[in-house]
Amino acid sequence: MDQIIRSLPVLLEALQQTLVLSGLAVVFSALLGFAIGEVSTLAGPVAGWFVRRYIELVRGIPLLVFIFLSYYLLPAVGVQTEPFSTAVMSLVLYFSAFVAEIVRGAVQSIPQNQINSGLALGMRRLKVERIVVLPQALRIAVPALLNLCSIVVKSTSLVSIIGVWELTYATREIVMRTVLPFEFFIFAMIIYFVVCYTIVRASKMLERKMALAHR
Amino acid sequence: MRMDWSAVTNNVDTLVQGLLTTLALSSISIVLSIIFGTLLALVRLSNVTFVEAAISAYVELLRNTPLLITLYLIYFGLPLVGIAIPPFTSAVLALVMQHTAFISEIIRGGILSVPRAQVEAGRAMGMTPLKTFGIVILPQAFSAALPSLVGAIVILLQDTSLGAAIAEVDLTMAAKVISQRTATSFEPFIAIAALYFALAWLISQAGRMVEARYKIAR
Repeated sequence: MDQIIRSLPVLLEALQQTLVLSGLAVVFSALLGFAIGEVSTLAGPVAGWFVRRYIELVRGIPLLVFIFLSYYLLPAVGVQTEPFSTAVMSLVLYFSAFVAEIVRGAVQSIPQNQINSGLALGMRRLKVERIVVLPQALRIAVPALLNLCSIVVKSTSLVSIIGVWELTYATREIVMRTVLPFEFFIFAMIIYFVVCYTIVRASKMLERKMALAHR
Repeated sequence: MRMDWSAVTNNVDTLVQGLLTTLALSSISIVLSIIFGTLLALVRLSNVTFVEAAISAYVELLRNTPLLITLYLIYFGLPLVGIAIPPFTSAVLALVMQHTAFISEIIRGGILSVPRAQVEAGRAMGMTPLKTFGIVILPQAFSAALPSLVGAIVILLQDTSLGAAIAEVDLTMAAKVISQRTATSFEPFIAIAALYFALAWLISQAGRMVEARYKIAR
């Protein structure tokens, strides 16, 4: 306990780093994933086909392999980055596929009739998308997207393997020094749990609220 | 960018070795997780409040923490209390602990999806509770849970890659070893990404076949 209190400042700083990593990964994969999801439904069958293959491809590869691949591939193509940027990049590329899948599912759940009605009223397709489809689709997608956030937070622990300093890395460092694996790993577990469980609860709450709104 | 596949072609034996370890790691963990997951789901549905609360706490904790931390906890922790186990066993333990939690939720959902009236019908026909459960509820529960179960199996397969973090020579570690042996080439990772993808694809195809075969009309 004494040791934990002494290490608390370091662990909090590490938690902050984990949250920064997660935040960057969430924001950018949300933007990229939204774009990819929209392209797959709006830009015609050929683009849609490519996007679906991309989504399938990414989902079939373990995140850790994806991270290692970026770590070794980027320098080979002449991009010199630090492990931190490599980590953010691979998390964004990876999770944008998941966001795209969620967005695509939500957009497709909006009845085609509504799109036809919009077009019949003389709106352009993009306008229909903006004022008819998306406001409904995004509400449907929010709980799943929040769930994905908690997966992202958990997944940031993997970037410690390529040497990015965050909660898992810092905990490991402390364990190596103090030889107290139970105390510190369980403490790290609790920290991750608090963050992820909060997000999951929020997602459940929103889901219930949405269900009410749709009644 | 020039690709040089010699790092892969010269080290096929290392990759095959890694692939075999990954397959062993996945299959053992999948079987154990499904067994324990089903048991947990059953105990949780048995309505003993205290046990229910304990299991539910376990499931929520493991579902909301990174696998890597569980893995480190086992790998670095157990030797200190006098239990020396090889990385392979540590990886199996961590994977089973984590995925038992995921799978028990899936099976529980499957069981809950079977209408309660069917239990009563089975009992009314004179079947024992165990028989009712075994031949009426469980087959339908698995059928309902199958699509999510296949997804969970694919995720478990991908999670075996974390074995590389504790120097377990699975497919991912094999690629890392080769890469470091050959002046940090990235080609081995493309090769193993393709292998993981193929395995995930095979699993989902197999899942689809089983689903079609055991589809229970409702």
